[in-house]
Amino acid sequence: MHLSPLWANRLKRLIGFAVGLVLFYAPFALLVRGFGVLFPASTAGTSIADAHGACLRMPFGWATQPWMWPTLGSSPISWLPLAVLPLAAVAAGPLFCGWMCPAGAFPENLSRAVPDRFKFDFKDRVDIVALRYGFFGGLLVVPFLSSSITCSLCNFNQMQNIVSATFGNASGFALFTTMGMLAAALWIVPLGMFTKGGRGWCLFLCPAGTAMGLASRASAKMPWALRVRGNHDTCTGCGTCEEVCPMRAASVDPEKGHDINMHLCIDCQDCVSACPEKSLEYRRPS
Amino acid sequence: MIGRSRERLLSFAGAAGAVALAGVLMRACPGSCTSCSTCATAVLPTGVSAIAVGFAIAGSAGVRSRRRGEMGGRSREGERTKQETI
Repeated sequence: MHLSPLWANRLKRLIGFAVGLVLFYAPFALLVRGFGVLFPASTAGTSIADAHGACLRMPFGWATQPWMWPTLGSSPISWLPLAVLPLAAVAAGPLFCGWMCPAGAFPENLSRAVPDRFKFDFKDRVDIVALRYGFFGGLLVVPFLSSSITCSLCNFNQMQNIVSATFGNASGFALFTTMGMLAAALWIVPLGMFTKGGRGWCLFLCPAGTAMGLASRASAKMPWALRVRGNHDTCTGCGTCEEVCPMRAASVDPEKGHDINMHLCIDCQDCVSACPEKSLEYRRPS
Repeated sequence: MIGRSRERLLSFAGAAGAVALAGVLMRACPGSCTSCSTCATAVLPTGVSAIAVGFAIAGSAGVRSRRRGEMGGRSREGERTKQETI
């Protein structure tokens, strides 16, 4: 069977998402178990080995609450979303989002089953970048107004419930809160299946993705920075990159050719593999 | 440029405000379920409304007519395929 370059890339990404699932999610959670062995007193060592042990959302809430700093300091796995992944994004872009995060991949792949005419395309309708940073800012500020809502609006938790249920443990669904149900519904249906690209949640409500996007954008012009970059001389402005981009980061300017919004791009390289003129590459700046 | 900055600021503030409001509303929930139904009668509808209003503010501020179809694209040969706005 012959796979087009785009579908071959998507298949490779699916393998990456399977690796992410094994690393972060119970019943495997190898990364959490590894940290638990290395740091038995940390949250990874004391909590159940599942996605909660390597939470990519809570540390953002903790970072804004000084009384939680000791917990942050004693739990190295919490530095993953605050430091390790953004630093990796400085070097190579938010590869975690595009190649490893199962919570982003799940709705993205579900959305492929829905015809495009039923999907909402946020691109050019709202200012995605401003909204993304707005939600991120809200998540950081809200602990001062009430309590952190990073858990209530969590899609990793819902993904863990789905994975656990797949492996025979559906007990997580018994702990569904109202906000949990709202989050699950938003993540999978309107912001997933019925959003062009299937990554509406990633676009607006993922603090880890936003932090990586910010790091990626801020360092995009550094000489070592690997990012999806284009060759404007060969671009014909056909719009294929814009069509296949799950994060709605690629756009075509009639004068300049393609443009990749580094705040949003997750370097999934679907556009690189789909470009008929091979105008896009994942490379350092020339 | 001023319009664009204002649009961005409104989008940012609308989104941040919606999340903050949702967080404040959640204080009405006792945390562990006591079947008080506060969530069904107050928190969920107001929370959904807050998020919807945030999106509406951001959406109305952020509508742009930058869509490729309206501005004209280029064909594989590099020629314009849509009528240009003069």
